[in-house]
Amino acid sequence: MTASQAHPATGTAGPSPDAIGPKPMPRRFHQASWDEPIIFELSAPGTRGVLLPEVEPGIRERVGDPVAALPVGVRRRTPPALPELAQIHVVRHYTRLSQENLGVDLNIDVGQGTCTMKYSPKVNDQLIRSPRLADLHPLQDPATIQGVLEIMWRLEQILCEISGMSRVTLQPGAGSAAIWTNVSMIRAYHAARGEGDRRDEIVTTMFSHPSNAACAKTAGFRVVTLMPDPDTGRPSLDALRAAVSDRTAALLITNPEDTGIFNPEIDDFVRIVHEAGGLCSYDQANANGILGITRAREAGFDLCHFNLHKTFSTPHACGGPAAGACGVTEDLAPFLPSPTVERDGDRFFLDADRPESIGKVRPWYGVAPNIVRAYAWIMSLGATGLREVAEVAVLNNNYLMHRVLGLRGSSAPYAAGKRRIEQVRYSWDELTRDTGVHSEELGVRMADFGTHYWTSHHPFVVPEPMTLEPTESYSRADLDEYAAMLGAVVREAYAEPETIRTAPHRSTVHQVRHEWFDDPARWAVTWRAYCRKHGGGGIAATPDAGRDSPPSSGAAHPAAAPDA
Amino acid sequence: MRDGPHLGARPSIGLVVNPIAGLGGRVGLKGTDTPEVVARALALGAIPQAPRRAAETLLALHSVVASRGDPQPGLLVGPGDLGESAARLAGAAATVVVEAVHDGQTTAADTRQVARAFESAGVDLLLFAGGDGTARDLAAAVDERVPTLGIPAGVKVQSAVFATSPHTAGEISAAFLAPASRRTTAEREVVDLDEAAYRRGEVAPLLHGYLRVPASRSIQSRKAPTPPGEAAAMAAAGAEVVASLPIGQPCVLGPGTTVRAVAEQLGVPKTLVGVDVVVPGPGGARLLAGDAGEREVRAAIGAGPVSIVVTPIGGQGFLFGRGNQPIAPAIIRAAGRDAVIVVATPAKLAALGGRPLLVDTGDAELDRALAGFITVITGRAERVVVPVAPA
Repeated sequence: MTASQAHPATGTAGPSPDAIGPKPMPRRFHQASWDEPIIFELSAPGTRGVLLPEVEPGIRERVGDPVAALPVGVRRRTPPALPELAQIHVVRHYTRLSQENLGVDLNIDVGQGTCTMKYSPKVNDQLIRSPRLADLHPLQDPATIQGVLEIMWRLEQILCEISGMSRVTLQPGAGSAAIWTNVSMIRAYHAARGEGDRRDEIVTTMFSHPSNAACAKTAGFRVVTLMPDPDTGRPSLDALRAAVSDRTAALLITNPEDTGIFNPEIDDFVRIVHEAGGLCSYDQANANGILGITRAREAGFDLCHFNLHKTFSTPHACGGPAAGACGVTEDLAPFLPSPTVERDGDRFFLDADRPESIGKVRPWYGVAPNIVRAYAWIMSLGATGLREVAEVAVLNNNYLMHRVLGLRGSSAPYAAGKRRIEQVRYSWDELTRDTGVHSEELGVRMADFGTHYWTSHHPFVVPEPMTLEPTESYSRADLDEYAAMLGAVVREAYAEPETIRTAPHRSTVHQVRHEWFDDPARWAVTWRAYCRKHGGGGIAATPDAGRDSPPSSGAAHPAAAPDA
Repeated sequence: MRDGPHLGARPSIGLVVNPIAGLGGRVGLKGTDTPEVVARALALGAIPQAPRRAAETLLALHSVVASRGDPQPGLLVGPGDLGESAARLAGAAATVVVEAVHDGQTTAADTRQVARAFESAGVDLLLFAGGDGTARDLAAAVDERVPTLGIPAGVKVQSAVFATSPHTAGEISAAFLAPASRRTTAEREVVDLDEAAYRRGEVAPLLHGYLRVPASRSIQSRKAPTPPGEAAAMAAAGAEVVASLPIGQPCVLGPGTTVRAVAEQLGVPKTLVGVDVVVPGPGGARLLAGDAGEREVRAAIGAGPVSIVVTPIGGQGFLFGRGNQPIAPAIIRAAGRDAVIVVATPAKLAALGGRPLLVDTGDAELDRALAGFITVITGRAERVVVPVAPA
C-alpha cells in the first residue's frame, strides 16, 4: 500500500467518541478483485443447476419422444458444449463479476465523455421484461403484435418531430449501424441519379463522431477529413470549400463536435455541399445538448441519426443489441431499409414492397426492447421534458467545466472564454509538462476512486486530452464530488507523481498489456477463439490473463505466473 | 574585448551569426559541422545564407519598433561575419564586442566567445543565426537565464529555440523588448541529431541542453519522434501515395521516415535526410538519383512533368525549407502546386493541432503561391485537408 492509500481517520473529532464523523472526500473505495475464472473453466461434468422431476407415468407414453417431433434439420447431433454448474456457482460467478464493474449504477460516471453515460430509469426495464413484450416472436402474424408495431410507429413520429425529418427507420442495431445505413442510402441515392461511380468521397471533420469516417470507409468511400482551426476549434468554410468537389457524395458531421463546441456556420456548410451536388448527414448520435432546441432539417440536412442508447436512455450494450434510428427527407425515403412500419387507420402493418430500398440492415425490423425503452423514456418526459434534459445537461456541463478549469494544469483548448454545449474536451498538457504525468494515467488513477477512466480521442489533436460529459443525470452535489476526486488526483500528480504512474492500486485489474488487444493472433472475444488460439481447455495453458496477481496466488492459479 | 559598451536605458540585443550555417543545404550536404564539408559546399557554389537571414531579422525588428514609436534597441554584434556584416547589410548601427577573429574561417569557439561577451554586457536578448550546431554552442556558452532566440539559418533546425522564420524572429524580439512586455520566457530544448542513430536510419534528436526563449507560439516546436506504432500507419499512407504516382513519371522524394515508407513500397533505397529521385515503372521503381543536390535533382527530372513527395517535419509542420533545400524554388515552381504530394500519418498531423503547414523555400513569391489548403494523404482511402502558410 502506498502512502496515498492511508486514509485519514474519521470520527476522532467531535463531542462524543461514538458520534459519527464526517466522511472523507474523496470517499474511501476499494474494488473487489476475485481472480474469477471464465465460466467454462468452472464446469464440473455431471453438475446440474436444476434437477427436473421425472415425467409422470402415462405422460411419457402419450407424448413419446418430443425431439422426434422436431424437423431433422434443427436437431443437434451432439449436445452443446455448455458449462455444467450448480445454480449457486452460477449466481456467485456473476455476482463477483458485477462487483468488478464500474458504471453509472455504482458511481458518478462522467469520465467517458462523448459516450453520454446517462442513467436509465429502472421502470423501463420492468416494462420490457413484461411477458407481453418478452414473449413476442418476430415471425408472429402482424395482427397479433399490433401493440409493439404501434410503439414503433409512434416512436418514428416522435423522432421525426425531434429531427424535423420526414421518415425514420428504427431497424439499425446500433449507432454505427445507423451511420452505415445512412451511408448506404447516400450511395443508393447517387446511384439512382447515375452519379454512383463518380461520387466516391465523404467529407467529415476531425472532431466529428469517429464512426462517420469508419462507416464511410467500410462502405468503400474515400474519407476527406477537415482539421479544426486552432482558434475556433471548428473547420473553416474555406477548408470545406477546398475539400468538396464533384466527387463529394456527402458531408457527415457532428454538431456540437466532440469538443462540445457548436458550429454556428452549420447551415453554410450544408449549402456549400449541396451546391457541389453532395448530401448532408447530421450525426446526432449524442443529441443530448440540443433536444428541443435545434433540428437537423432546419439546418438543411438530408439525413440524420440517433443512438438510442446515448440520447434516449437505453442501455449501452457493449456488443449486445443496441438501437439506432435514421431520419431522412422525403427525397431519401424510398431508400430506407425494408420493411417499414405503416399505419392504415387503426391497423399497423409491415411494408416490404419497397423497390428502391437498400434492403435489410438487420434481421426483422429493429431491437424491440430498446425501442420500447426509448418510447417509454420520451413519453415520461414529454416535449418540454426533453428540452429540459438538454438544458440541464448543458448547465451541468458548464458547471463542471468551471470546477475543472479551477484545477491546476487543466485547460479547455479552442474558443477561449466561451461556454461549451454538453461536453468538454479538456487538455492536461500543462500538468504533463509540469509533472510528467499523462492524461491517460490520471484517468486510470480515477478508477481507484470508483469512477470510469477515459479512453479514445486518438489521434491526439488536443494534447493530453480528457473529455467529461455529465449529462442531465447528476446533481450538483454529484458534480462537486467528481470534481473533488479529480482535484485529489491532480494534487497527487504534483506532489507524488509516482502514485499516479503506478495506478491503479485499488482496482480489480492492474495494468493491462495493450498488445493483447492489438494482435489478431492473440486476441480472443469468445471462448471458442480462446481455445483455438491458446490451445485452451484449461487456464493453465494460457498466458497471464492480465491480473496483478501476488506471487502467493500462483499455486491456486498457475496461469497467473508471468509468461516467460 | 573592446571598452565596455554603454547601453543606457534602452533595451539591448546581442547578435551573433554563424556565417557558415546552412551552407550545405542547397547543395545536398547534411550540415557544415566539419571544415571539409564547408570547403566542399563552397566548391559546389554554395552562398552563405546566415548573414542575409540575420539582416532580415534586424530589418523586421527595426520596422516593428519604429511603427510603435519606441526607441530602437542598442545592438551589440560579433566582429566581421560573426554579426558586424549582417548589421551592415541591414543598415543598423552596432557595437562590436570582441576583437576581430583570425582571418579565414570562424569556429564554434568564436561563437561561444562572442556569446559570453554579450552575457557580460548584460544584453536583454541574445539573437543568434544558425542551426542546431550553433544552438548547441550557445547552450554551452551562456547562462540558462539569458533570454535567447534563434534565427533559422542552418540545415538542421530541429531545436525548439528557433523562430519559424527570420522575419518572425524580428517580430518576436520587438514584442519581447517592448516597454509593456512582461518578458515571459520558456525553457526550450536544444537538440541535434545523434550521428550514430542517424547512420542506422533513425531520426533520433539528442537533447543537448536548454535555452530560455521568449514565450511565443511562433517558436518552432521540437521535432516529435515517431512512436513505434506509427510504422503501420506510415506503410498504409505510403501505399496510398504509390497508388497515386503516375507510371513512368519522375518523382522527387523528400527526406523523412514517412517518405521512406513510400520508397519502401516502391522498392527503392531512400536517404533518410536526403532527397532522392525515382521513376515508378510497371515492374517496380528505378532510382534516378540518390542523396541528390539541386543540380542532380534538376538533371534527373528533366523538363517533363514530375511529382514531388514531401512530409511535414514532425511537431513543426515545415513542408519546404527545413532539410529538403535541394528541392529548390525553381523545381517546385516548374512542377506546379498540384504536383506536390504531401504525406503524413494522422498522429503527425494531429500533433500540429490545426496549425498550418509552413513553407520557407527562400522565394517569398513561391511561398505565397503554395499557401492555401492542401490535401494530405494520411492512409488507405484517407485524406486530411490542412492549411499551408508562409513561415
